[in-house]
Amino acid sequence: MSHIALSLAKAAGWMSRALGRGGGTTLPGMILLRLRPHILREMAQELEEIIVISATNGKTTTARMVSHAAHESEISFVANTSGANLPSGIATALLRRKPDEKYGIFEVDEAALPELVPQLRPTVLVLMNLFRDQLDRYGELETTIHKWKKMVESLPETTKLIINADDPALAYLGSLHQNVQFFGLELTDHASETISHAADSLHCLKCNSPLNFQQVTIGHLGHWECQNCGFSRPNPSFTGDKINLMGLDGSEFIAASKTDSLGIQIPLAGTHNVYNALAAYATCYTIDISATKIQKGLSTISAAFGRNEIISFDGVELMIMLAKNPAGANQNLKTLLLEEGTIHLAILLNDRTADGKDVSWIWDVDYEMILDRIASLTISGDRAYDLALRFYYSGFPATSMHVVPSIQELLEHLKSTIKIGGRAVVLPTYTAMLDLRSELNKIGATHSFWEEK
Amino acid sequence: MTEIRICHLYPKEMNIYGDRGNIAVLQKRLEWRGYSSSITPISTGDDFNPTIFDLCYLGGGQDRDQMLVAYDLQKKSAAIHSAAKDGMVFLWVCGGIQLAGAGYTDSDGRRIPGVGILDLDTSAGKSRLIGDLVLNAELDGETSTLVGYENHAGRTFLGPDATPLGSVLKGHGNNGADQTEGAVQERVIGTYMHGPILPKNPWLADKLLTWAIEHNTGEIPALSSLDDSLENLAQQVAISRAGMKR
Repeated sequence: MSHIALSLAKAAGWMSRALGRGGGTTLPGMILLRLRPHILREMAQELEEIIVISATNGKTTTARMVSHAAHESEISFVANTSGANLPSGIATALLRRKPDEKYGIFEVDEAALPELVPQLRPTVLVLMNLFRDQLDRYGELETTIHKWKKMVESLPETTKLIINADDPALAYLGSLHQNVQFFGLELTDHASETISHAADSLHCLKCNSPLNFQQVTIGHLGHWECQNCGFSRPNPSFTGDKINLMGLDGSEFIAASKTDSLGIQIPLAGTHNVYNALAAYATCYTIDISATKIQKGLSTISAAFGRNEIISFDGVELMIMLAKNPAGANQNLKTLLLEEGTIHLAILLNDRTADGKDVSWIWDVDYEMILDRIASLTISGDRAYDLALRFYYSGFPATSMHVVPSIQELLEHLKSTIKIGGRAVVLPTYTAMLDLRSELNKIGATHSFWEEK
Repeated sequence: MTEIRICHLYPKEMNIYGDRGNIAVLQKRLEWRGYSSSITPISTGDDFNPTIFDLCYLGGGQDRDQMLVAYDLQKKSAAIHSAAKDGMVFLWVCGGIQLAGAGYTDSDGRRIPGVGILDLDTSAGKSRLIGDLVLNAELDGETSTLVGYENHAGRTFLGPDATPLGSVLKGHGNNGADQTEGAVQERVIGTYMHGPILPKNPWLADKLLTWAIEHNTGEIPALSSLDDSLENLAQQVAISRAGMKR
């Protein structure tokens, strides 16, 4: 390996952090990949076990859960913990790997996955869900499914594939690989029988006929079958049952494999986090982490930055729930409804590259479900007025919302609206979340995202 | 109370760009002026009755869904032509403008038929045309700025019977070549502009409603003005985010 390339790239990381520009979670890798385009393959070869996790929603949290259980199990691993999930972020993580770290745990962007998998050659590949997201960047969902299909078809048989049986498109991909285990949620009260507005993947990928759903948990995830060709949800090896959602405080459920079952408690709210925990359980089980370590690892996890994260400032508690696409935003809203009472709600909409420049997706979010629970509504971000129109045309009075495009004004307003000891729920897009955390960091309320442990 | 009857074609298949926002805007702007409205979803396999609606909306979808819809539309083609001839108002967005034309030739050379209520034809280009879209639009001799977003592989060229909805100030428009965007023929409007198009462009929403009410009552209504301050602010922000200052 060229020492000059490695030293240059490492130096860039120190400089980037010294300058306060994003903590150097991607720049060193970017430089390294420029100098040595095939370096990922070389660096990955030094690992014994490589776990790659991808999805539209939940990959950061799930990778964090697996890392936590691995840590409990005293496995020495390298991971891209700061959500830097493009090739540059993975390369940066590998660059900083210590020689004894023989496991790699990586969350990977769904568009970058087909390019990264042949380079990293994962021993375990976890595919969790695909929802419509940032159509200007990712293109149609069908395009991503098509690229994932080609990727799965060229996987070596030794790669253990772990797939969400509840996502019809992913289950289809699973049917194309020999070495696959499915996970899925059993019938639960926290599901409906009807598909929500603008759900994806409603047609059979084998015969194009409409799918029938016995239960819908999130978006198009659930118990499904094609009545035309008979293709149906595969029988999962890993199941989540007896789900108990305990408001915003957390969730519990029984995770089971073919041979064991295990009560799992997580301090993270909502059905989406039960899916994340089940995927983490399946992954940990596959790499032989013991039941007690999985249990302990998952129960002591803290939220990843911006994902159900609670930050206090000036006596006010902010609960930050990243909301970057319709399925994720709807799931956050449903989670809020688990608690009684009214909510101080702040929503932040940006339209930068990492958010998606097209903001039309907000019209596919079912904000209507929360309208009668709103104590106060504050709207912020680059495209705050688009969001204001979304609420205005749902019948929410313009005079009852407070529109403040800048983050500083948002924090000022929340401070003046909410009593000391009170809580606001903040739903930001990705870059709005970074802006918000950076502002909170400036006033000393939280740490920088690259200091994430 | 006059009830304006809106038909939403294929809401399950064609809804990829927040299309229901357009429906919400039409409904609310009618309600605020004392009109009632009905929304009738029409899906694949349903009949389309050309005599019972004032306005027909069709949105954008993924390629596969658009293909399914295209073949179903053929069965409704005669009824749709009859409705257009009778002055029913059409707003067909994104995939909708392609389906309103003669047809669509995809990247493999396959031909997907359209219904032909707009004199235009579309074929797939090599790249997708994606980004903010700002137009100078003209309808009934009035002009207005329209803002939105486009994301399409199709290159659409108009024939002599259709006029463009507007000229492109920022973005690609119908084909990225001739600075035109959208198409208008009588009261049929096709456009690539989503966002969705109507919330930030109340001028266009009110134009469609004026036509729809006229179709229903036979008289051109004088629509009362509404407080459009949020709409206007959102439009200005979108224009400046598209890289245009004004």
